[in-house]
Amino acid sequence: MSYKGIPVMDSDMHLMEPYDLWDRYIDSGFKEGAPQGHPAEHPRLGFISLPGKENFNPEAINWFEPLKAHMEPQTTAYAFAVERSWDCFSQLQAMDQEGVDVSINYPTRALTILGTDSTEQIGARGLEARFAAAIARAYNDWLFDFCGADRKRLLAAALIAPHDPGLAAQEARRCVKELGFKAIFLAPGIVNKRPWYHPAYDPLWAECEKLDVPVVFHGTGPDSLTDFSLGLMQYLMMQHQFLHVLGPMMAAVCFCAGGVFERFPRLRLGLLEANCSWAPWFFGRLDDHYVDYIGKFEVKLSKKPSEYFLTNCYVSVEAEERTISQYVEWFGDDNVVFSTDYPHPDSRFPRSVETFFKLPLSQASQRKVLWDNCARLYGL
Amino acid sequence: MAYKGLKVMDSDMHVMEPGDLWTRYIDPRYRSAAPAGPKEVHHPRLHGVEMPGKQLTSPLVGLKWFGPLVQHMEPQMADYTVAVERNWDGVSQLHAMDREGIDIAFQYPTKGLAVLGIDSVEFVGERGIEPAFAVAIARAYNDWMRDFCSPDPRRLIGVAMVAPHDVDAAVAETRRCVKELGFKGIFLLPGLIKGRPWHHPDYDPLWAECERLDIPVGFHGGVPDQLTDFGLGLTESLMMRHTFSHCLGPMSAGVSLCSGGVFDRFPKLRVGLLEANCSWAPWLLGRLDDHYLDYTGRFEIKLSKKPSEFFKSNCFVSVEPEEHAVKNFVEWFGDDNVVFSTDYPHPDSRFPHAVELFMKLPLSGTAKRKFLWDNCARLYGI
Repeated sequence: MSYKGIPVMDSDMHLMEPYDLWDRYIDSGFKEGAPQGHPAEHPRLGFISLPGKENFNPEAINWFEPLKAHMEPQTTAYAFAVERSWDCFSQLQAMDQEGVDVSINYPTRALTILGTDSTEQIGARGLEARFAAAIARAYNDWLFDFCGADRKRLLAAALIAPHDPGLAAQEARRCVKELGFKAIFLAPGIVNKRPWYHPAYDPLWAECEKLDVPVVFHGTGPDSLTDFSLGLMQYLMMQHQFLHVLGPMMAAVCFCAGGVFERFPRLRLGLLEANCSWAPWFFGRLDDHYVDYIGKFEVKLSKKPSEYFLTNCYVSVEAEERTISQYVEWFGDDNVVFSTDYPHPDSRFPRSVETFFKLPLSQASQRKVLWDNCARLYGL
Repeated sequence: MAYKGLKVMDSDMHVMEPGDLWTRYIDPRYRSAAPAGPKEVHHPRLHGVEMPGKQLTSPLVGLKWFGPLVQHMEPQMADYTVAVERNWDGVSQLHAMDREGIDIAFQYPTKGLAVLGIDSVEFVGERGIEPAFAVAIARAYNDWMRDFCSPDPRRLIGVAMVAPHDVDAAVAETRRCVKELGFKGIFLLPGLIKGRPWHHPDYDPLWAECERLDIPVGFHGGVPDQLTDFGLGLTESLMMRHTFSHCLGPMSAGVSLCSGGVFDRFPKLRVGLLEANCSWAPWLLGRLDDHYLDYTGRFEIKLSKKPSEFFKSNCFVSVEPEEHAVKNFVEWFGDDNVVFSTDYPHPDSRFPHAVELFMKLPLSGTAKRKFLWDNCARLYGI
């Protein structure tokens, strides 16, 4: 495949889950209250939610018309996938069109499905830990079947419920050892009031380090956990400006300055679809806060947070992110990966890779971003 | 004064308000409910403020941050003895300015960053505050500030607190503070009141007044309050929280104003995004431009320019003395939009070496002069 002879790995391609996924895959004991599909007229605007625990922010309705207007010119480009109901063969076709050899696949409709706090925190509106784990398990079983069309090209990231870290570690082990998955994915919002450096999560990080798979954080959508949209719900332009980026940034702070990498030095962290060019500002500030402000009195680290970032983290460049030149000047080119973001509305499909090549990067950097770094992130 | 011959203007110096500011200055109707410093002050630089019957902010002594903050401030104690002895009065403020080489400083609050961090009763019920009370709190602060600056109003310049809880009253207070008290700007906490983003048309009368009076609006982050959580739920580690909280507030106000049409309606309005770094701007405005031009923004709102163009023509950001990534800002936007502050006397200030540290940043001599003086003069219209 490749793009004009250059191998391409998509760090974070997306699927369009069928509306009846959980009807078909969830354990029979959890059928009641299982996620339900809500198809929409527009093939990319339907969603899935948990009956009685809807965390869909009603202000999001504002965005439907602008989204439809934005997606209108893209209709032809996605017709082939709509016809095939976004099946595994259409996924491979999309990859072929872009020149993507291998993709690691993430959810769409399931991005917010676990975006509700535990029953311990919020009562009946919350997610009970074993139910959350069952929701994740069903998605992972479906994903395994989905990737069956070509297990060399369609790789998978496991949906993991953080509500019970012990169960989460078990599911991570099952997905990697039995299903051959290459990563775990967590929505960044805080559950059970535990920031990601909380020792309760150590069994999960230990398992991932042992299994040699990365922990990936990816922005979700408006859910009922941490509000990464900072109250800017009126315009999707503003909400998306922050929501997709702040979650992974918050995870980065927790891992790099919260001691997680002290305890698990070989653990890799993916901060995906969140830009990269904030890193010089952000880690400059975080380093200063550790070394010259109060951080050194709050936690003992053996390296500066920015040094942990370089040894353990990967960020992702957006196809139009021209400020990447400033990132590379500061941190070099070993930590950045690429994604088409197919088939999301903000994807440049079918010209994502083509757009990427217009970024101010050397040829050597381009190759690393398109392949080597991603292979290292996922331990391939 | 000056610093080795360079004129210096501090865009955002802080005062340490006396604990009884509001009980002394507030409209007597509100005296019993007024904010006040706690009875016990645990550290001469960590005062706190409380409001009877309201959850204002977490008292510092209750948080895990107190110990680390005290440890951090320990080596700095000698630098603040004059101010502590003089109870942080205007004379001690001038003394601090002299030590740093600052000619003119615009005064921002400390306790005053907390007192309006609570939403309106109209929106959150009993745990909120009445708009009229918020207005009275602001007025009292401004009256005190005028007195604070009296030892030398040419060097100590007031910036007005206004309550967004009542926009009409905020307009009137803005006018009073500029025309009668000689203030040169207003400031706002970035947290949303009644869920209204800063581009909401309800705020237009306030922007109109500032534009008419030729004064800027300064957005400045505060302590954990009851409004938008810019600390993203990180409460235990001040290092982590402060990495985000001080920046995200002004950044989100900047996004709201630059892409929400405010500068199309008020093209001469100037906005300061203060004590929030500057080197995020190429990333943030690059992303925002893309979201406007190539994502849904163009179907949501019509702007006459790109958001980054509004940023360049109407916004000012502030560089931290240790912010070496400032060169990224200058590479992208040039050197006309950045101002400087010592942040005296806050725990994260580099006083009395803030200017000295700033001079080590990777900036041309011209850029340094502009950051230390010209840009700040333009921001405040002086």
